[in-house]
Amino acid sequence: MSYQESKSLTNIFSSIIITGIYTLIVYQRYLNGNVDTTDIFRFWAIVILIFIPISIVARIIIMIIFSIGTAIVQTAQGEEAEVMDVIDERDKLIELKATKISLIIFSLGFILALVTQVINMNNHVFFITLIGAGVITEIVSELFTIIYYRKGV
Amino acid sequence: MKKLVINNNVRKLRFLNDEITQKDLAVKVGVSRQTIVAIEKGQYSPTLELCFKLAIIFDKTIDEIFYIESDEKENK
Repeated sequence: MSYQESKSLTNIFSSIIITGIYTLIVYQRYLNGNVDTTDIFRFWAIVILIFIPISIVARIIIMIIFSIGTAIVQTAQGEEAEVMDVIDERDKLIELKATKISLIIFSLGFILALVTQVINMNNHVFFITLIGAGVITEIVSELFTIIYYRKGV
Repeated sequence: MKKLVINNNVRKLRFLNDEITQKDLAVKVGVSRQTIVAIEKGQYSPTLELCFKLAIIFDKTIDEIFYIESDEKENK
């Protein structure tokens, strides 16, 4: 498995783990009946605004651990450590295609979130659908990145 | 028009040029080693700029490096 493929897999797992843990914490603290439902928009704004920096910091830490791990594995296998931060035209093309796919999937998620409001579902469902769409978008986009690296573009 | 299957002689030319490694070639043309691997496997068609860079490195014309699959069969 190439560096880019491993990186995409790491992104998928980190996305699932970070979002999963944060969702669990938020659910246990607020959503199991203890939440003040009078100001749902403020509540979700706070939840999302807290999630953004936590997610960024966690991803940076995971990527540092991943880079160290990759270097250790390469050294153990007797390979000379390669410079992996070179982003060339193929990487950019794959990134562009993955971004296109992620935009389509998130748009579908957004439409689904709007539908939940049209059929009079709880406002919480709107935000949960949006966040779920974001996670699914990232997973699918990274999976397509792996496929493009494997099968070619 | 049918989609063209483009193949190349990069692997052969590497060996004819002092057996230059994929890594060294990648450094010379400014891409990652994985991109050279993908080009050699025919999984990626490089941009015109990269084709010219390869042509300069190998001192060949672009059509001596890249060819359409059916053309190669006809030539054989």
